[in-house]
Amino acid sequence: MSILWVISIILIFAVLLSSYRVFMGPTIYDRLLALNLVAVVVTIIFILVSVDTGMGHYMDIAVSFIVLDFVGTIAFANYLEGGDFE
Amino acid sequence: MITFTILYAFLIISVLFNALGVIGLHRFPDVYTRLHAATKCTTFGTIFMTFAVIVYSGYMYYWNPGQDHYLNMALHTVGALVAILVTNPTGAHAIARAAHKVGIKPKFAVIDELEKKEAK
Repeated sequence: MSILWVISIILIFAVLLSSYRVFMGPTIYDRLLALNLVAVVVTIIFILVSVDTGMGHYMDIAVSFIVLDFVGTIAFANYLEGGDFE
Repeated sequence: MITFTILYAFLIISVLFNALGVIGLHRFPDVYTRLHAATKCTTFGTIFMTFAVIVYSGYMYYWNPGQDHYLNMALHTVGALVAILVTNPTGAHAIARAAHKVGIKPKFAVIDELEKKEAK
């Protein structure tokens, strides 16, 4: 068991702790922010798993995951702001 | 052996800052301070994780020359880092702008310059 798996397990616990803010957040912006943090930490877990197992396509999944999360965050913030999608 | 010391130092800094981001997400009182903690700490942690991966893949490529997938790994990690460096502050800016526009106040703030500027 290498140190990368230990760090991945610590980061999975961080994701589980921050999912408290997703479910119990006072405002909807807290939930959106917690989802953003979860996406970044999951990207780091993908990178660590890719380095440890040597499977290179996990890195592509990490990059596309963070870019799609960005699109979702921007679209959701624009919707909550009351903006239009022109 | 100095390489692995540097590697472990980078990994520990990265995990420490990600954990600080999660603790800040729990402990801070309103959405703006939570935004501050979560976004900055995770960006900093990701930078150090990328440094660790670059050091590791450079070490492995130095001792196993000709195996190009280590260079491939380092380049893809730099791509992920650039994606995070561009998208994470932009997303935080969008969330803060939406929250301020809807009317959520900073909890302990005594003066709100942006509201005065928009009222003009």
